[in-house]
Amino acid sequence: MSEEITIENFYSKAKSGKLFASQCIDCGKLSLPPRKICPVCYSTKATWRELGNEGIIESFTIIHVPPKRFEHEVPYGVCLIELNEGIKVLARTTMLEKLKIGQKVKLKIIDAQRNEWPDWPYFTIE
Amino acid sequence: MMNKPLATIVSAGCSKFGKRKGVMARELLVEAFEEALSRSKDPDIRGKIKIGIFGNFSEYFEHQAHVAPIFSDWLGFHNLPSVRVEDACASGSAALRMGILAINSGLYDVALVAGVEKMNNRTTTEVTDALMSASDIAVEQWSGLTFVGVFALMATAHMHKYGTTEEDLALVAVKNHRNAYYNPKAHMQKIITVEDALKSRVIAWPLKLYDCSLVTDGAACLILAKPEIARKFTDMPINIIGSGHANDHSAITEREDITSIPGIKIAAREALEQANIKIDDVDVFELHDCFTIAEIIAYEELGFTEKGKGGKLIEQGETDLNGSFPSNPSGGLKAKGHPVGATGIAQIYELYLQLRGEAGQRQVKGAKKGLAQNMGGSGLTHFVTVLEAEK
Ligand SMILES: [Zn+2]
Repeated sequence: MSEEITIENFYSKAKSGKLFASQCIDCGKLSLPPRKICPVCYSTKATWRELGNEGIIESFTIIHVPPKRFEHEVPYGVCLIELNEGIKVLARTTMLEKLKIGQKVKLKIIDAQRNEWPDWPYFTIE
Repeated sequence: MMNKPLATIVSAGCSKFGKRKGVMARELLVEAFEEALSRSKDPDIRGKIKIGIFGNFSEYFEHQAHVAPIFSDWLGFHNLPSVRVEDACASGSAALRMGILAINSGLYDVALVAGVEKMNNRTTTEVTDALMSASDIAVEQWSGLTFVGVFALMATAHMHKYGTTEEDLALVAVKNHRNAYYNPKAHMQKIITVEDALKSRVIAWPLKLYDCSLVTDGAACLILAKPEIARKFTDMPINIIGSGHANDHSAITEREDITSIPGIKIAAREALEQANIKIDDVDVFELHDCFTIAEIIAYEELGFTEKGKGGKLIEQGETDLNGSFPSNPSGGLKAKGHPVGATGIAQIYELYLQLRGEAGQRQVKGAKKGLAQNMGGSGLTHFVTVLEAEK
């Protein structure tokens, strides 16, 4: 776990199916995507911390007019999920029936199979 | 006790807003600048301007970066030091803020601050993509959210938590369209009903077409001067008595409460403290209604009402022209239009008219103090400006 804390490393770990945040060694603050400088105590001592995939939907929207990249998926939902560790993440889904504030969900990571930058995976729910 | 003004607006201009086919950004600026020149008492005000500061969001729309020297050249200046500033939808206010710093530092006596955007060369999808570039690529863009989508997340949570309704959102659109009907420079001069708004097509649920600001071409400009010399250029100076600037976390996942936009409150506090007044002392407001929910949240953050009661406030008509907090007499971003880089300056242009009593049928009676609130991105950048008509 000595890899440098960068956004690219975060997404390459995610590609292998695991979600890692950065955690401030001094105050415990979790950050997603990970960052070197703690936004709470400004410490520069951070480490990787693996997260679970469970959380609840804090809010959601259903996108009908999409950006170009997601044109083929409309209508799709985007939900703001608060993970059990208390940190938030955005996920996209076409299972619109799951979209309810307070709904328990499991985060899933899918490889976007892209050959150009950014070749980051996407987050969805199961 | 009134403090000395930070700077004084001695002239202002604004182009017609709309789909301005056949006109480029620089030509929209010329249109706004000609009005500002014609309003000046000093026919040689151009010669007194020593710096040009331009708010402009995206080089994507006209495939044109490095715009500042081109703009000042087209406005007829030779060798005018010029700079472009960019803070997404708050680019105009960022230009104004830099203009205030230029004057208040003592470095400049007279400055031109302007904002412009020419958006309608592009398709809806292209505009959606370009606007989305103002949000964090590592979080928001990558999730498939759009710019509307970010505000839709706020709306869904606000509705769930506080009982705000889709009708409340529609009422914001109805009010702003009604005001724009009386604004000849507005993009859309069209009265709409709550039913029209509710029936309009969904863009990002719960937000529909009429919850969204318009994709507009337009420009606006202000000429700022040191307060001591303002009367050389105008008999009706409008003083800038407060200027607040705040930032928030870059991604909405970092925000503690998705129903709040705390940066508005912080910028407003700074501006009102400088002006040494309270929110109730302000007579007229121009608010950043990029989406209807944003105006409702702004009511709450500015302290028109308690957190969660913004929907009630619009239902009660308190933000109508004759209400306690008249908001967006211009028609707002919603109906006057939202040429991204021009918006912050165009808000000040409206207040300039209002405080001079020149706003025609949308005039807020007896308005002496005005406040503009302009936001960049999904609530990251915030500017609040307080103006007062000089006695
Ligand atoms: Zn820390």
